[in-house]
Amino acid sequence: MSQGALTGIRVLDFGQYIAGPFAATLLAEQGADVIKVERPGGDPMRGQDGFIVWNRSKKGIILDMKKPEGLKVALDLAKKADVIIENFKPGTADRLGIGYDKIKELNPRAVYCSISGFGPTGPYANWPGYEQIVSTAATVYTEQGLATHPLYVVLPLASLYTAVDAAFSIVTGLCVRETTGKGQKIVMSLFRSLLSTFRQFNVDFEGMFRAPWGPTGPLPLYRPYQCKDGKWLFTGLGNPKFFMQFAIEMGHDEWLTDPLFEGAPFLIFPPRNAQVMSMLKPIYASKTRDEWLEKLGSQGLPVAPVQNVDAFMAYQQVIANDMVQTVKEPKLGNVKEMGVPVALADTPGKIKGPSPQPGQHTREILRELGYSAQEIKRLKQENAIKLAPRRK
Amino acid sequence: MMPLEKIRIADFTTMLAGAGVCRELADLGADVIKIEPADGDSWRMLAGGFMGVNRGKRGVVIDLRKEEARTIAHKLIASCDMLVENSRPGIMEKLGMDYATIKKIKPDILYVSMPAFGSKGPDFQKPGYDPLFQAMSGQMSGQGGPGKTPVFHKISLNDEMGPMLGAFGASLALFNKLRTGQGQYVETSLLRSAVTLQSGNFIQYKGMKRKYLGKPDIKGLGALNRLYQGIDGGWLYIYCPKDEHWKALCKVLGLTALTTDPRFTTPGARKKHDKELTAILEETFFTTPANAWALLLALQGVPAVQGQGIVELLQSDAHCKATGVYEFQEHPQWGKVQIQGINAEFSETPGKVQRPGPMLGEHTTEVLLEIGYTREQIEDFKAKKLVLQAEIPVKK
Repeated sequence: MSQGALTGIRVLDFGQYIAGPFAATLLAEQGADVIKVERPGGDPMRGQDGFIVWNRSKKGIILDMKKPEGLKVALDLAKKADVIIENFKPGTADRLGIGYDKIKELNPRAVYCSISGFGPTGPYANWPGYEQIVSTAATVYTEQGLATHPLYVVLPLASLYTAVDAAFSIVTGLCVRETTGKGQKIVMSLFRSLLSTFRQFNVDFEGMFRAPWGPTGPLPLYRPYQCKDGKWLFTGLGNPKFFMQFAIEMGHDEWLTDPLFEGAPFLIFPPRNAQVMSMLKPIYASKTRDEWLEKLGSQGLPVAPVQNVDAFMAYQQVIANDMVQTVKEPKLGNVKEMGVPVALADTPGKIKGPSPQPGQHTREILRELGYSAQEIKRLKQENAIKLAPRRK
Repeated sequence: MMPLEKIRIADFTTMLAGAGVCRELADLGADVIKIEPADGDSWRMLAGGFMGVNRGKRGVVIDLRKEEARTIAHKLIASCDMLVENSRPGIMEKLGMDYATIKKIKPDILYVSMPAFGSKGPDFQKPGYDPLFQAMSGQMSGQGGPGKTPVFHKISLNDEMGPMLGAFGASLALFNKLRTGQGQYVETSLLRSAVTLQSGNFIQYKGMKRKYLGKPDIKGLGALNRLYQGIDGGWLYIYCPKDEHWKALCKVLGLTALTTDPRFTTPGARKKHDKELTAILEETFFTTPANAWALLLALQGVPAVQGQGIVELLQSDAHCKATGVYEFQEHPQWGKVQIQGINAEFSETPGKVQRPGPMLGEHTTEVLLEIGYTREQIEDFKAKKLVLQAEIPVKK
C-alpha cells in the first residue's frame, strides 16, 4: 500500500486554539509533514484534553516572531512550505511579518489559509473570534434556545466545522496548484463555516417553510423518549415505511389510518405533535431501554440509545471502524482517542505520533534549516526561540 | 477559473450528508450531476432543505431499477472523474453501481462513499439518521447533562460534518490522482462525523477527570462566560477571558467597585463567588436593552454580542450584508431565493454558487446529449421510461 495522499507536502501551522491546529492535524494524518509554530506563551489550548488530539502528528517549534531572528526562522520555514495556516485576529499575521503579501513574495507556490472569527472585512471583522461570540452572532444559541432564553451549546461547533472545511479548502488549493503551478490565499471564517451548517434553514424565499422547534425536537416520531428504567431511547423514523413497520411492531395497526398520524413521520405539527407525544410517552415508559432496543432495533427500525461518550467509545461499531486509537502521550501515558476520520483505501492516513511538547523539535528543525549549534545557542540567549529541556 | 472547474461528478446521494458532499464540491466549481429515480430524492419534500444540499448541481432522472437504464448510468459515470453515494451498503451493488463494477468501466474513478455506520463492523447495515448519532455519541447527553433530558441539536450535527469530511476525502483523492493518475475508494460516515465532533471529549486516559458541562437550560459556563438578558427581553453573550475584559466590563456596567471587592479581584476568587457575581450582573444587565449593552461593551473591547435568530440574520445582519455572505438566485419554481454564498474565499480561483437546486430531471436531455446520445435515442429512452426530462414550470 502507498503512503498518505499528502506525502511530501509541508505544512507550516501558525494556528492556535482549535480551528487552525485541527485543520493542520487532519492534513498531517493524510501524509503531510506539519510544523506547529508556537509563540513563547504557547498555544492557549495547552492543558485542555482536546489539545492533544487537535495537535497530534506534528512537530513543534517555539519562536518569538516579534524578534527579528525569530521572524527570520519563521520565514525560512515559510519558504519551504507548501501550505501555511494562520488563525490570528485579522491584521496580526501582517503585523508579525508573516502575512500573505510577504509570503507570496518569498514563496508564490504556497497555499496560504487565513482563518478568523468573522473574516478580514465587514463590521464584525475586529470582533474577537471566540467560539461563543461567533456562535451567538451566527444564531446558534437563539435557534437552539428554549421558549424562555437562548441556550449555550457545549460543543465547540464553529471551530470544529471550520477546521474540516479549511482542510478541504486547502487540499483543493493544492489541486489547483497541480494544474496552474501557483499558490493562492484562502480566507475562511468561523462565522461562515458555522452558518453554513444551518443548511436547511438559512435559505429564504417566498413560501419557505420553517418548522417549529423544541429542545427535544419538534417531531413526535423523531425524538428521544424516556423508558421504564429512566434511560432514553431515540426513535428516528426517517420515512413512511419505517412508520408503518413501527406501528405494526408496537401492536397499533390502527395508527396507520388514524388522522392523528397523518403525514407521518415528519409532517405532524402542532397541536397534533403534542397529542402523539403524550400518547407515546406511557408506551415507552412501559419497557426498559434495552427491551425497546431489542424489540424495535432487532426489526431493523432506526432506534438508538441516548448514551454518554464513554459508552460510544466502547461501541463495537466505532471500534470496528478503526475510530478508537491509542496514542502514547509523554505526560499522560496511553490515551484512547479518535482515529483518522477519512479513509482512503489506497493511500491510507495514519496517526503519526502524539502532540508536540512545548519546543520539542525546535533544535531539530533549526538544524535541518542549517543553523549551527552555536547559532541555536545564541538564538536561545536572545529569547528568539525556546528549546525543550534536554533529555537526561 | 473555479478551483474544481474541470471535475465532473456523478452524484447518487440522497437526503442530507451525502448530498452535502457534492454541494461542497459544486460550490468550488465541480460539475455535479445528481442522478435521481423518477419519484425523486425524498428530501425534495423540504424545498429549502433540498436546495441547501443540492444547489449548484444539475439534475437527471434515470430509473436504475431497469437493467437497460443502467447502461446509460454507466456511460454517464464513464464521463465523470468521481462518483459519490451514501446508500446503505449493498444497494449500489444491487444496482450495478458498486466500486468493483465501476472500476472496470472507469479504472481511475474516485469513488466516495458515505454509509451512515461505515461499510464494516457489526452494525454496518443499520439505517442511520443524524439524530441517532447525536444520541449514541454523547452529543445529546453532553448538552443535556448526565441523567437529564437529552438535548436534540437543531443543527443536524453529523449530517453537517459529513459533507465537510466527505469533501475533504474527495479532494485528497483528487490530489493523489493528479499526482499519480490513480483512482481509489474513499470512505467516511456519519459515525466518523460523530467521532470528529466529539474529538475533544472522545478521550480516555488513566486519571482523567471527565468534565460534564451540559445542563438542560445552560446559559454559559460562568458569570463572565454566559448569556444575559436586557430590559427589552433581548439577550447578549459576554465572554471575558482576560483581566482587561473584566475591568472594562465593570467600567461599562458602572460596577467599578467590584474590581476592588475581595470576592472578585482574582479569577480564582471570581470563580469561587460565581453565583453572587452572576446575580449582580444579571440584575445590572436587566436595566438597559441588550443591543445597547452590546454596543457599549464592544466599544470598550469587551467580547460581547447580541443574540439573533436565523430569520433576523437573513433579513438584516449588517455583517452579512457588508461582506456578501448571502446571494440571490433565480429558481424556476420558487423565484428569487436567498442562499448562502461560498464559505472559502479563494484569491485566484474563487468558487461560485452555480445555480439553485435542480428541478427533478431538469437537465436530463442536456446531459445525455453531452455524453453522446442522439436526440432520437433520448426520445426512445423517455418512451421506455428509462429516463425522464422535467417540464419546467415558469413562476409568474
